Amino acid sequence: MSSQYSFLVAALVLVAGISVAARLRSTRTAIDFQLAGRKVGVVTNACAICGDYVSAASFLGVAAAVYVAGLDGAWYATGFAAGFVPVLIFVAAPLRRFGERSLPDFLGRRFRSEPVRLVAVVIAQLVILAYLVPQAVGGGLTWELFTDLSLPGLTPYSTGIVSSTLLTGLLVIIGGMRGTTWNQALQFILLLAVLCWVAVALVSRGFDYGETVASLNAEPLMQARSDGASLELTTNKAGNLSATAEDTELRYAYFAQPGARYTGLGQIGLMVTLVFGTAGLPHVMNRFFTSPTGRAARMTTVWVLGLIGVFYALAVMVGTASRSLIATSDAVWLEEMTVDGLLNTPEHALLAMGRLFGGEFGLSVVTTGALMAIMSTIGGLLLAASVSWGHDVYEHHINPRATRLQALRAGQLAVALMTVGAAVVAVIFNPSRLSGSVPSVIASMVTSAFALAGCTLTPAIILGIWSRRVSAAGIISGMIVGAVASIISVAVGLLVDGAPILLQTPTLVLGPVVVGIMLAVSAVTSPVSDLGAIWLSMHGSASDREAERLAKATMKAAV
Amino acid sequence: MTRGFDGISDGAKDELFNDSPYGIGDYASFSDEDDAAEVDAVFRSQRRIAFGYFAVFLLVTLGAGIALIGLRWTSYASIFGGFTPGFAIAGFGLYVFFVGMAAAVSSLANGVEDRMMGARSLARSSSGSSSTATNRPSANRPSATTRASDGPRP
Repeated sequence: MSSQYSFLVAALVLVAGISVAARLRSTRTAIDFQLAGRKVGVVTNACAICGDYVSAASFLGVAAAVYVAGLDGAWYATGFAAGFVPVLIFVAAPLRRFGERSLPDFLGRRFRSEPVRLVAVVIAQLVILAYLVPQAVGGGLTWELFTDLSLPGLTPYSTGIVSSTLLTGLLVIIGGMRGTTWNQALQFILLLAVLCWVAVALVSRGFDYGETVASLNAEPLMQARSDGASLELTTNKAGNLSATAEDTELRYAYFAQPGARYTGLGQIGLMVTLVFGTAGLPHVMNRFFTSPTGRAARMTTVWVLGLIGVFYALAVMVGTASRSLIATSDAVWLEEMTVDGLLNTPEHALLAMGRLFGGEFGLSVVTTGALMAIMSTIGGLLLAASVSWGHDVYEHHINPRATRLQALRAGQLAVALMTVGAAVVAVIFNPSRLSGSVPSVIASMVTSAFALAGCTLTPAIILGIWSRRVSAAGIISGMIVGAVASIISVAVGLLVDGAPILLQTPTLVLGPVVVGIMLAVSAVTSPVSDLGAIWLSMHGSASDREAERLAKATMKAAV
Repeated sequence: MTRGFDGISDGAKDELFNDSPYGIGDYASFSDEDDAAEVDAVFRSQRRIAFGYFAVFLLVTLGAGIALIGLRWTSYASIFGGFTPGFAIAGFGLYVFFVGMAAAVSSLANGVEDRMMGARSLARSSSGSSSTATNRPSANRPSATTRASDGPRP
């Protein structure tokens, strides 16, 4: 086997081994399968959350966004990281202390309302789908780029989709949350290691970050843009396309200036959408239920912010370096990927850096990283879907007297169905129908998941934790209006040429509207009565203290 | 069969809390107790901390974004090593701010809980009614062990 595949195969064998080991450790119950028995430590969980969160859009997409848009691309990464600040401040500890299995479960019990639970289930599934399909598409595109190997009767693109989704689904069924946690933690460490390797390679070759930014900022930011038949180099400043503008600084985009991709308002809208969307992502927030205590969940988020900050800062640096190095490289293989030194497909930036520094093996390492990023995110999404269907729907509405085994089987069946469904939709889905630029479609779909979550689940969760006055009717009204409005807004933004960027990132406008609806409807309806027990559980720390005493007793006994 | 200090077997607890369809998953009502008045006071303090820090977060993050758009010098001036202020903020500066803020807010929130809650259990413990130390931890509940090994201490 050539070195091209050896690293990928080794990584796949490792993650499969981890899933099998987790299976041997135990997946006897639904709580074990869905939440790893609530025994995941702070650092492990932080790495797993990062692995869950960092998809191909982050691993390849951030470097690509910086490559294309300079400062505007760096802001994209900042928005991804900033999303965990509201999670830490408002959500992590109370969410875990209330001790539920999923976001719909949390909302259903907080408002003592099955309709709230069911509306939240539908929205969570839509968020998961909006996140899952682009991951599968990314798997197909990465595979297609890496190799021309394909399964019988399938194209390389379809082979990538089928193999990444089915393999991940199988690993999730085998390993449950425990195996998925270990795999996601390992996969994030691999991604971070890849970026560190590229960064060290850059520095050892004399790369000067600040000077590179300064030199890139000296000339207008050109990019290869397809007009359908050919590629041409263009530059403009978003929202200021006037061909008659005489001031080139107003007319042209520059690397270290805002405006290469977004207008000012569009950039703020994107930030707000990413910041408020994170707290409503089911696959990420479900991981907090695996923490042993509320305080552990809080400290996990601090670790997440540290780890993900390092990750995105490195990704921005590598994107900046790629802009400079690829243009000046004399590597022959770059000629067919570039126009006048600029990549036709910006998502190839990190892959090209891997090949520049490590040859075919380096390309294999980065490609493996991309596939691992896709698999770890798909794994988290499948588990979140499994909990929703298995617990919130099956155990609560189809078979309330379900045995442990039945609940476990229902969750595993849900994983299998979601896996097949995502693979089919991704194979049928043709990204080029939506836009001439495939990678931007993937990024746009992921951003749409943030928009939907930020306009529905996030305000419901934050109000549920911090306000006694909100009612079930208020929450349902706000979530339904937020879901319908954000879906329409994002669809129009994606499908209509020239639509304002705010339509794709509507949280800046819709978020306050949804909160207003929730509060207004709550003002004329009855809030949940007798909140005392809920408040004690959510904001009290008795369970944390008991866990700490047990820990001390355990340590004493061990000594 | 191991039993907790509340006299209920750990297996039964797991069955009751972790494996039930309602999955409460905490042991607050069985073991330690929070006082409603204490929790209410802590809730109000935590809410003040949360919204205060969030206001700072929004001010700095969105303020930085708006400043970069509105102040042209942030795109031209060179502060160190060739970096413009705008790129230094977006490229790595804000990440440092996020982590610093996270450390501060978590430390404050943990401190509030430590100071304002648990008085009843402390009193009970000192009067000898709690027998925590005499209980063996259950194999089904190593979460406390996990937390002790890599979690933060108050």
